[in-house]
Amino acid sequence: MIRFVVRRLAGLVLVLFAVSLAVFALFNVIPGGDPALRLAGRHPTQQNIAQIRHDWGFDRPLPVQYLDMMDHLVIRRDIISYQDQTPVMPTIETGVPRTLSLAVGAAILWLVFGVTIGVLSGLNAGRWLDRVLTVVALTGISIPIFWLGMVLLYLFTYRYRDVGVFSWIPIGGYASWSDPIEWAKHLIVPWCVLAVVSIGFYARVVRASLLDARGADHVRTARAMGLSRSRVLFRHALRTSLIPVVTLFGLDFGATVGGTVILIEKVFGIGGVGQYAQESVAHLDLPPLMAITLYGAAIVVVANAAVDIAYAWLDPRIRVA
Amino acid sequence: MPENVLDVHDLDVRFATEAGTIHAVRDVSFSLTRGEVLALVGESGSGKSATAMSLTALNRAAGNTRVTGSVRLHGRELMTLSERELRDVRGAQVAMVFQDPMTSLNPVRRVGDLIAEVIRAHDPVPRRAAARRAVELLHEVGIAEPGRRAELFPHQLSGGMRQRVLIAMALALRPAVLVADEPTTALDVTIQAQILRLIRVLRAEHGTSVLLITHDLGVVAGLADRVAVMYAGRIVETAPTSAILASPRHPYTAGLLESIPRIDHPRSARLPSIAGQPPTLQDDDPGCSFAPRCRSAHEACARRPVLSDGIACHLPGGRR
Amino acid sequence: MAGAELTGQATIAGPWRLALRRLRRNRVALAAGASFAVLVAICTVGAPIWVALVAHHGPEYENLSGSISDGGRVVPVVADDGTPIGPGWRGAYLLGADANGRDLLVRVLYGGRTSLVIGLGSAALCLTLALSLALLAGYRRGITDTVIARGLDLIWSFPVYLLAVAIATVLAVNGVHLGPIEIPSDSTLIPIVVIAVVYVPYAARPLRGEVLALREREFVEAAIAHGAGAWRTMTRELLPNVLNTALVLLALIVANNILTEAALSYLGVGVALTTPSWGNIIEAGASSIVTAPMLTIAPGVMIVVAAVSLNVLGDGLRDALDPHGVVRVDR
Repeated sequence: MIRFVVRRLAGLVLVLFAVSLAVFALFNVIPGGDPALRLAGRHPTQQNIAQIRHDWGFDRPLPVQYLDMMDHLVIRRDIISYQDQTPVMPTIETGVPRTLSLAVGAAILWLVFGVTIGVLSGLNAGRWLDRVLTVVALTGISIPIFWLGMVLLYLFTYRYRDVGVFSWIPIGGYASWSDPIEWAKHLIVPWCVLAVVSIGFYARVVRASLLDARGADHVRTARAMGLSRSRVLFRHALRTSLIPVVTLFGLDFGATVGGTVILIEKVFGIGGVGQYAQESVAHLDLPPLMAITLYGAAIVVVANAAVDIAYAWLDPRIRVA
Repeated sequence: MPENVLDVHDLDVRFATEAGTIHAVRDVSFSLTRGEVLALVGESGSGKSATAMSLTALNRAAGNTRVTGSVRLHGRELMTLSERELRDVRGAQVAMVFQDPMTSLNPVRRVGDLIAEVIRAHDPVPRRAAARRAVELLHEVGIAEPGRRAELFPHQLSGGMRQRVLIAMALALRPAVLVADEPTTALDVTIQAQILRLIRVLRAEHGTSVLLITHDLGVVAGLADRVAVMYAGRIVETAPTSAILASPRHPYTAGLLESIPRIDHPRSARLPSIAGQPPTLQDDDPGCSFAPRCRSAHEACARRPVLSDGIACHLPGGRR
Repeated sequence: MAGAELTGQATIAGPWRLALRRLRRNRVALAAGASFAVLVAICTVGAPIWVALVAHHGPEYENLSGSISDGGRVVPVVADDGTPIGPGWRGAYLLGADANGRDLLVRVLYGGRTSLVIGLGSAALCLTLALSLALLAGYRRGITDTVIARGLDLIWSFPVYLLAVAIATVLAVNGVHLGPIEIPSDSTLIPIVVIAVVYVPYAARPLRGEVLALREREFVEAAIAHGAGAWRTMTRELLPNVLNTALVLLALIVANNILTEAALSYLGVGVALTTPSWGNIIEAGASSIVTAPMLTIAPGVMIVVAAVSLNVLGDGLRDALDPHGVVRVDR
């Protein structure tokens, strides 16, 4: 087990290096005009361009430029937004707790509901409950989440504001942890919206996996030995069929923290990292986007490594590999 | 005449599949006495496994299967029991060992836990006692260092060792009947012999009746007291092992025996095989199912022969 | 002797025919496929017909100061306070107008063309890339496979939306200039390429796994032993055996890509604002959702209808084409 963890962590370092190279290539090397021009955004001033050229040393060889970029992004962390000349890293750091609040809450919702719906669907495969849940799950996958957020916000906070149950829902924004009730009130609708797609997706995966496991030989053994229905289901069928969910969860949680929040934070004005990315996109302000892309990918990679280790703990067959 | 432990009467199994209904088991009847080993022999698709699964209605959960007939254990009808009542029979009174030990054990649980779980499912002993019993059982099925092995995961054991674990699980509650569905097919020849010896010893010690399902006549010769040969869902011949091996009466049994290589035959001789294919089990044919492949088929074979005096054939012995 | 009838083999249907039979029995999936076909027909053929016969103006026609008769009264298309006219039973402006006095229904129909072209085009490009990479990796194996697999892993490491946004933003600044290829920064090709690239690992990883497994099978070895070259082996032996997976993926990826187009356009890095698309229309209407909710709701509903039909169709295709979906006889 320890050897597995060490090897996995060594792999992690390599992938992080590859990711940083990819970010460098995407933002600095992709052919097409002057990189300084690209970094400077849509409406650069001559002064901007000159400063960027100087700061980033675009006349120097590529390896030096790469080290420079990493120096600015990771070590000195002094990268500057060219839109309003503010430092990028502090803005990201203030956004992190907001983005994490959003993502963690949504993840809990989608895990609980996704697995529950998937199990119910799988146990009733072919019956009406399964069909209804299948349609619900597929619809969930098919809704653009930012649109769902906008429509719900419109319905709850404007159209049906007078209906008692909705009157407490705030129009958007974020309240800090220090007041947990306000915090949850502000986040409950974004959580649900962000979870909808994944609930549908997880339900499908759990359903398929459970159906597979129910036909597995070792589950047949468990039944042939007279174990109770719930034991066969939970200790034998479900235990093995939840393994793919763990894998998915690592990927999706990373992808949510680092990506999907862009859409939701804009809709609800949560002001986290996602909204910062979105505003940078709107201004074609590349430095913040570059920093967020690098750190976002790093989160995904680290989450994946964590999942692999959890996976090895769940499935002893992996440990020897 | 000893009392029958298991009585199967007119067992009939149909599956609904996409290609139509498969009538896998047709009017199968047999019985097992205490300590007896009955071998159910046939090609794949002859209905052996479907028969085994039907004994404790393990195929009931699959909604596409219909089973009729009667299965009595010590005179108690099992077919009409509820799923809950059947759970007390499964494992405790009728236990099963399956073909593939590689996939038949839960990969994420320790083997000792798996055995202890079966014990506790039927017998409310404390956890520690069940774990101790599991180690004893592992010892009993011939696993060296059972205490250490109980802590291992299935993938850390060899195929033969896993099959021993499955047998330990099956014998944990001293069942009256052990159903062994191709217990050695997936194993190496030397391991096969060990497993067969183990079943033989356990049968002698505990008086367990064994329903042995196999296509391997070598296994039959080594273990079974009596043989029932299945073809296309029906039993076509049943007789004591020595009799059937020495002088098969049904042309199909004769063909099966001819098609195994024998040490006392010249090696240059071409190994005979039964011409043709077994019928698909979709349609009920009015005649003898084996007639299209039978060397001695004649007009009478357009009617279905009934099983009487241990044989279902109009021309037992055939026209050689 | 009725031997022939007794052994009478059931007619064995080929895998595609069997799949078709299964699909035909799945009414929900068929209805979903039909509804997507209808949607495509409405947006491609229906849109110009509607404009010619009923609405009498195109998607770009602005009518800031005009007025129309609505139930006998004459109402301005855009009121003095900037609120556009809402939906109502009339030929022009059936779903109302947008803030520039353009006909929302006509824009949604024409926007559908853009969204569908991007969804289908990027899915086709994505699958072509994924199939090529999977076949190459699976056929060559060894170092080629390692390089391709690691490359896919690398793309996979980036959160999809973030990567799409990052690439789209970089390209949006001054377009693509790759040797002879010049794509202006406002071209529809940019979202097509961006969406296709970020989803390549999603399609290529399962396909690669399948090709690798097929490569070990005897019929492939036999073909190579008989002198089949690389191209022949890949296209005649390997490709046909992964087509069913590719087909299922196609339906799911088109749905996914329509959603991604909407998201990118909503973030302002998708389709240029001059061309209507479902995502663009939502983005333009978002700020006035309180006064003119239809501007947001109508294009969104179209997206949901398109994506649901494709996802249900894909689900049905998977059931029909996946051999593991067969009712298990032995259990």
